[in-house]
Amino acid sequence: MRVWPLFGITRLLTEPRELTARAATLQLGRVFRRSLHLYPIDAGNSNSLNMEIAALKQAQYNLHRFGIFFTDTPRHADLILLLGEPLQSLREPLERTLEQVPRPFGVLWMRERLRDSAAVSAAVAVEIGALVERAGGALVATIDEPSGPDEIIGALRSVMGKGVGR
Amino acid sequence: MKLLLGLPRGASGEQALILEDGMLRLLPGREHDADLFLETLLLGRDRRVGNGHSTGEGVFDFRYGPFTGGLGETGLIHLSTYGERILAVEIDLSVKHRGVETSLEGLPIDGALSRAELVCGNFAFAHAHAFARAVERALDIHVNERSRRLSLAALELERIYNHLYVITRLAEAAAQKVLASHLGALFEEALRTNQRYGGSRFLHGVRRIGGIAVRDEGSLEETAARVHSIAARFADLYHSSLSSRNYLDRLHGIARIERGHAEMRSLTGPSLRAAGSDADLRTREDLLGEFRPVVRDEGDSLARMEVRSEEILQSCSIVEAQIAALRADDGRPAAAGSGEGTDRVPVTVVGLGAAEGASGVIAWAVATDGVTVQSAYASTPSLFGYQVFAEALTGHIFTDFPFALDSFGLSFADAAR
Amino acid sequence: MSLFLIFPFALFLLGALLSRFRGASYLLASVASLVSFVLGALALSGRTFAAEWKVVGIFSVGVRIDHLSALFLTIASISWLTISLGAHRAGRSMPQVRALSFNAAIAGMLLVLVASDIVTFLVGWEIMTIFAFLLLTERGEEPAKAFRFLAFGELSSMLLALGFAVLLARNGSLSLQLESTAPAAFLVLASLGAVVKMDVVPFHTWMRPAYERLPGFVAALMSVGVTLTGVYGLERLLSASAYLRWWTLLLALLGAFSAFWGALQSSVSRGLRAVPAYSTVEYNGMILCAVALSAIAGSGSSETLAYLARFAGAAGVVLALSHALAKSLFFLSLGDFADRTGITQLGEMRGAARTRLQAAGLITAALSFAAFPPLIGYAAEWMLLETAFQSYKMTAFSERFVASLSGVFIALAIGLAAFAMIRFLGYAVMGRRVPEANGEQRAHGRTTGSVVAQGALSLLVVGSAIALPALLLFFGYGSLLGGLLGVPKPLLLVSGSPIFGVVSPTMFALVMLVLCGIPLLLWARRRSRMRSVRAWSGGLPIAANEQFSSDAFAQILKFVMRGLFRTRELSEGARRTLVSRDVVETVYAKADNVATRIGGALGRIYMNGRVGWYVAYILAAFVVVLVLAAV
Repeated sequence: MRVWPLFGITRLLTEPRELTARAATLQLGRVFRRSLHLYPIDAGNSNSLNMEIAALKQAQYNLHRFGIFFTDTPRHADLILLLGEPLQSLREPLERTLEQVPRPFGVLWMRERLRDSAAVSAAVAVEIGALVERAGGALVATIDEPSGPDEIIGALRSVMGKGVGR
Repeated sequence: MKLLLGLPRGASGEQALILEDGMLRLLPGREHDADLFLETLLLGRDRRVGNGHSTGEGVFDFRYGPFTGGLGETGLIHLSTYGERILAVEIDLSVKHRGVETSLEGLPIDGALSRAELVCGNFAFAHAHAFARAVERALDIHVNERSRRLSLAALELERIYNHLYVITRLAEAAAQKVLASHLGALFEEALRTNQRYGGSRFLHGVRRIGGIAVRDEGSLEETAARVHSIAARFADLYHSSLSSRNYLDRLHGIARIERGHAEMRSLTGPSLRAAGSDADLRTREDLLGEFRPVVRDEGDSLARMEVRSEEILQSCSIVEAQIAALRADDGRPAAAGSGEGTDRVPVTVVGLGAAEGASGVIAWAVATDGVTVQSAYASTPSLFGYQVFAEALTGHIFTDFPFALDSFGLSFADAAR
Repeated sequence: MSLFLIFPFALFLLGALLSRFRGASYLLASVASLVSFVLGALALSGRTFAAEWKVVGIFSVGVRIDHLSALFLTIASISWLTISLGAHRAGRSMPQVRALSFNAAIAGMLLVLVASDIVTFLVGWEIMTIFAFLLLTERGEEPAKAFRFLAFGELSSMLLALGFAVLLARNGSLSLQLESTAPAAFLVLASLGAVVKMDVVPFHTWMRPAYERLPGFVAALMSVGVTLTGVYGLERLLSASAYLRWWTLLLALLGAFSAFWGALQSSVSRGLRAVPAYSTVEYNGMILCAVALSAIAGSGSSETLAYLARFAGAAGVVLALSHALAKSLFFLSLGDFADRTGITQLGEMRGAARTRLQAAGLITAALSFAAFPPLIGYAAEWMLLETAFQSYKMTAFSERFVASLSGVFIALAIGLAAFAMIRFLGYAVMGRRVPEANGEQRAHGRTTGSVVAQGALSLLVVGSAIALPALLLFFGYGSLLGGLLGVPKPLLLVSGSPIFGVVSPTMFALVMLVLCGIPLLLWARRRSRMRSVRAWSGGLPIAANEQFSSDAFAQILKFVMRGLFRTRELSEGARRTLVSRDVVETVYAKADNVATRIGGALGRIYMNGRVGWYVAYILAAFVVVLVLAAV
C-alpha cells in the first residue's frame, strides 16, 4: 500500500527549461507581470493543440513557478489561448465567450498546419483580429505550429513582460 | 465477426465498408448484415450520435459545451435529466465538422496524406498509416520490412501516449492527485520520445507513401531506452494504483457495455477488448510475432482502464522488440518513401487501408488516379465509441460522467472529421 | 369607553351589507381593521375594555379585551388592514359574495378574539368558518376543494363544542375567564379543535388543491387570519386549564413534526401557491411547538423555568407576528399572478415577478421565512431554537426528551425552509425570461392601496426586527431584555436566566449597515468601469428547454428522502417523470375511498327505493320512539 504523499515529496520532476520565443509577442501590461490566468478555447483544431496544452500542465514544466495558471471559466481569464483556426460554426460561441473576459485581456493564437489556402487563412486572420478587438482584447501573438511547451511558455513569459530564459 | 464501418458513396452508388476477420472489404450497397440503426447512424454521422432526448415534467436538457473546461476539447453533449439521473444522451458532432475528407479531393497524394493527419491530431500516425496503406494497396506500392517495423513501432508509440493520457484523466477525475501528476509526467515523457523518434511530438509527418521518415540510428537507441524507462515507471505506478480502493471504486461498474451489443454498434479497440472480445488488427501482423491482445470481461470503466494499462506495457515491449529486430539486421536504409515514382494509372483505383489506432480501428477508402486523390472516406472509431458511450451512460448520475467518458478515450475531432 | 368595542363590528356589518358596492365594502373592512388595531394598541397600553349583554337565561354576549386578546388583536388587525387594502382592486371584479364573506369572516375572527364566554367564542368561530368557506368557493367551479376546508372547519367547531359542553357541565357557567381550573377533557377536546384550525399536520391537506386558484387576498386571509385565530384559541384554552403533561408534550411533538413536514413538502412543491401553503403549515407548527414548550416550562416552579416560560411565550408571539406580516406580504406580492398569466407552476415563472415592488415584497417575505438576519423571521426562529436548546432545564425526563426531539425537528425545518425559499426566489424573481409564444406583461395590478400595503408590510418585516426591543416592551415582555458585551440595555434579547444566549437584531442591523455599506460605496464609485454581459453557458444561448427546472433543483431531496416522499419514476416511451407525494394526502385519499364505499353501500342498503323497506323502517322507528317515551 503506497503512501502517495511521501512518494510525491521524494521525487523531483520539475526541470529547469530552456525557453524559446519565435513569434513576436505583445506585452500585455504590468498588472500581469506576476500572475497570468489562461483559458484555452479549442476553436476547431485536430486535438493535437489541446494535447499540447495538456502536456504544458505537467510536472516537468511546473507552470505555477512562472505565475501561470489555468482557469475553468473565461470570467477569470487574463489570456485566452485560441487553439486552431476558428470554424464557422464556432464563431458565434467564440464571440460570446470573448465578451465574458474582463478587460484588459489578450488572445494568444496558436495554429496548426493550415487547412485552407494561404489567402483564405489570411482572410480568417483578419476576421479574428477584428473579432478580438471588438471584444476589447489584444491579439498578443500568433504562433504557427508550436514546436513544444518550451516555445509556448516562452511566449507566455513575453506576454507577462518577463525575459525569455530559464 | 463482421463489422460495418462505413457507407461511402462510390462511382456505382452506395457501398459498404466492412471489416471481417481483420480484413477490409468494400461491398456494394446493402450487402452488409448490420441493422437499420447502424445504417442510420452512419448516414447521419456528420450531425449527431446518441439516443435522442427525453421529455417529461421537470425534465430538461443539460447542454455540456461547446466551450467548457471539463472536456479538454470542444464538443456538444446534450444530457436529458430531471435532476441527478441522466435519461438520454445526444451528441452533436456538427460543431467540430471540418470536412477533411472532402478537402482531400483533388490534392496530390503527399499533400493529402499530410492533410489526412488533421482528422485527429492524437491519432495522426494511425490515420496516416491507414491512408498510406490504402494508397499503397491501390497503386501496388511495396514497403520494405524496415519501414514496416518502424511503422509498427510508431503506431505503438502513439498508443502509449494516448493510453497514458486517458489514464491520467481518469486518475485526475478520481482526485488521485499524486498518481495523476506522475502519470502526466510520463505522458509528457512519451511525447518527448515521439519527438526523438520521428521529429514531431505527435508523430506528424512521419509516415510517407511507401515508407517512413525516421531520423538517425542514435534516435532509435534512445527511443528504446526511453520506452524501457517509461514501462518500468508505469508498471510501478499502475500496480500501486490497483491497491487504492477509492480509485477503483470510482471506476467499477461505470458505463458497462456488453460485447454483443458493442459489436452490433461496430465498436473496436480497447473498449471492445475490455468487454470480452479479442478483436485486434495486430493479430494479423506477422512482424509482431506472437501477439496476444489484452482482454477483460467486465466491460466497465475499470476494465477499460486495465486493458489500456496492460496495453501500455505490451506496446513498450513491442517497440523495444521492433527496434531490437532492426538493430539485428542493420545496413539496409529505411525507405523514406514519397509520391514520386507513382505514375498515373489509366483508371481510378480504390484502395482500403486500416490501422489499429489507440481507441480502435481507423479505416480509409481512397480513390486515386496515381497522382491526385479523387475521393476519400474515413471510418473513425470515435463515432461508434460515442454511440456506445451514449447508450452506456444512460441511467447513470452526473458524477459518473467523467469516468464514463474518459475511459473510452474518444475525440470529437476524430468523430466529426 | 367599552362601547368602542362595537365600532369595528358595526363597520364590518356595514361592509357586509354594502357588498354590492365592492370598493366601498373593502374600504370599510380596512377602516374597521384600523379601528381594531387602535383598540388593541390602547388595550396593550393599559386601557380596559369589557361589555356584556344578557340574551336569555345564562346566555349572554360578552366581549372584553385582556392582555392576550390585545396581543393577538394588534397582530391580526395589521394583517387584516393590509390584506383588505390589497383586496381593494382585485375584489372589484369579483362576485359580491366575496366582499360579503370577506367582511363577515373577519368580523367572526374579531368576535373570537374578544369573546369572554364560550357561546360568543363558538359563534364567532362558526361565523369565521362558514364565511371563509364561502370565500373559497367560486361560482361555477367545483366546490369539492372548499368542502374539504369546511369539513375540517366543522370538525374543529364540533370539538370545541364538545369541550365547551364538558366545561359547562362541570362549571355550570359559560365564562372563559378561568384561571387554570378547567378539566382535562375540556383541554384535550377544545385545544384539539383549535389545533385543527391551525392547519398543522394532519389537518393541512385541504390547502394545496384549494390554494391554486385563489385570489391573493383570499389566500392571505386563509393563511394568516384563520390560523392566527386558531393560535389565539389554543393560547386562551391552555391558559384556562390546568397543565396536562402528556397532552402538552404531544402538542409540542405534533407542532415540531408539522414544522418539519411543512418545510419538507414546501421544498419540493411544484405549484406556485403550494410553496407558501406548506410554509404556513411549517410556521403554524412552530407556533404550536413554542406555545406547548411555554406551557411545559410554565409547569415548573423555579425562577429559571418561569423565565423560560415567558421567553417561549414571547417566541410564540413573535412567531405569530412574523408569520402574519411575512405571509400577508408574500401573498399580496404574488397577487393574482396565476389568474392573469395562467402560470401555476413555480418552474414556469423564471423571473416573471421582476417588477420592483413585487420583487421587493417577495424577497423580503421569503427571506424572512428563510430566517435571514436581521428580519423578523430570523428573530422568531432564533427564539424558538433557544427555547429548545434550554430543554435541559426542564424537570421531568419526558419533558426534556420531547423538547430536545422537537428541537431536532425544528432545526431541520428551518434548514429546509431556507432551501425552499431560496428555490422560490430563484425561480420567481431572478433570471431573465426566455421569451415564449405568449408575451406576458406586468401581471400585477397596482392600486395605491396595494402599493401602500406592500410597502408598509415590507417596512414592518424589517423594522419590527430592528425595533424588536421596543415591540417586546410594548407587548409586555420587557423582562426579557438586557444589556451585555457593549450592547446597551435594552437592545439585547436574553434567552435564559442565568444567561444562556443573547441576540440583538438591532445591533445586527447596525453592523450589517456598516459592513455592507463599505463595499456598496466602493461599488458605487467604480460603477462607470463595470459592464454587464449576457449569461454564458458554453458559448451558445440558452434554449428554453435547456433551463434548469425547479423540479431538478429539488430532486436531490426527493431522492435522498424517497421513503418519506414515496418517490417513483414513471416512464412512458421517451417521457419520464419523477413523482413524489405528500403521504398524508394519500392516507386521506384512501380514507376517502373507504368512506365513499361504505357510505355508498349503506345508502344502497337502506335507501333502496323499495316501499316495503320504508314501511318497515317507519314501523321500527315508531316502536323505538314508543319504547323510549315509555322509559
